[in-house]
Amino acid sequence: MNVQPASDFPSIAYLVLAYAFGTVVLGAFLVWSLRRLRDLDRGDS
Amino acid sequence: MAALGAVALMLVAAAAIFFYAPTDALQGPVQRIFYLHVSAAIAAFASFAVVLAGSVVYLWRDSNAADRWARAAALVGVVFTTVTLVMGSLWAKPTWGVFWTWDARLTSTLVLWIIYAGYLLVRRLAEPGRQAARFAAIVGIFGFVDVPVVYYSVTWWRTQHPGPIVATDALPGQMLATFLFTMACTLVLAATMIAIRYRIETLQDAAERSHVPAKVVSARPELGPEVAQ
Repeated sequence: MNVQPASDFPSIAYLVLAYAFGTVVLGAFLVWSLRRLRDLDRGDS
Repeated sequence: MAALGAVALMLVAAAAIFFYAPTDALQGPVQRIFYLHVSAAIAAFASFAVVLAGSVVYLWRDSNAADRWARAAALVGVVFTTVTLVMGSLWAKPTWGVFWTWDARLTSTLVLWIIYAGYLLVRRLAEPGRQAARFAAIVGIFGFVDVPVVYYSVTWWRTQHPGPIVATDALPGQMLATFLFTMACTLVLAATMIAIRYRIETLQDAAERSHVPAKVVSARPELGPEVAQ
C-alpha cells in the first residue's frame, strides 16, 4: 500500500470516524431489529 | 440474550484492537481500521452465502423457510457491506490520499452492494408471493458470482487495494490473533443478526397471512399457512 504524507486532518481522526460509523450502523441495526421483533412478538404488525 | 452475548464479544474484540494489537510501524494507528473492515467484509460474504443456500433450497424444495433465511441474510449482508465500504474509504483517505478510486476491489464491492440492495428492493416493491420469491432467488444465486470476483480481484487485476495478507502469513502474531478473534466475533454477530431477522420475517409472514382472506388463499396457495417450517 502506498502511504501518503499526513494531511492537515490527523489520521487518527479517520480511525475514530471509521469505528464510530461501524458502531453506529451495526448497533442501530441490531437495536432496530430487536425492537421490531419485540413489537411483532407482542402482536403489533 | 444471544444479542447481548454478541455485543459483549464485539466489545472484547474492540479492546483487543485498541489495547492488544501493536501499532503498525508504517501507517500508524489508522491501520487498526483493518480489523473491523476486513471482518465486516467476511461477515458480508458469509451472509451472501446464506442467501445463495436459501435461494437454491427455495427453488429446489419450494420452501418458504429457505426464502425467509435468504431475505434475512441479504439485509444483514448489505449492512456489513456498507460498513466495509465506508470504513475502507475512511482508511483510504489518509493512506492513498483519496476516499475512493475506481479500483477493481472497490468497484466489485460496490457492485456487490448494488446487487443485494436491488435484491432487497425487489422484495420490498414486488407483490409478495411465489413470483417475487423466485425472481429474488435467481438474483440471490447469480449475485453471489460477484463474491469470488471481489475476493480474487486483487490477484486478477493490478489494484491500488493491497493483496491478501492473512493467507500469505504477512501479519505478525499479535496482529493475526487480533484479526482472527475480531473475525470470529463479527461472524457471531452476523449469525445473531440473521437469526433475529429470520424470526422477524417469520412473524411478518404470519401476520400477512392472517390478513389474507380465505378466498385469496384458495386462489393463491403460496399465501396459505406454511409459516411454521
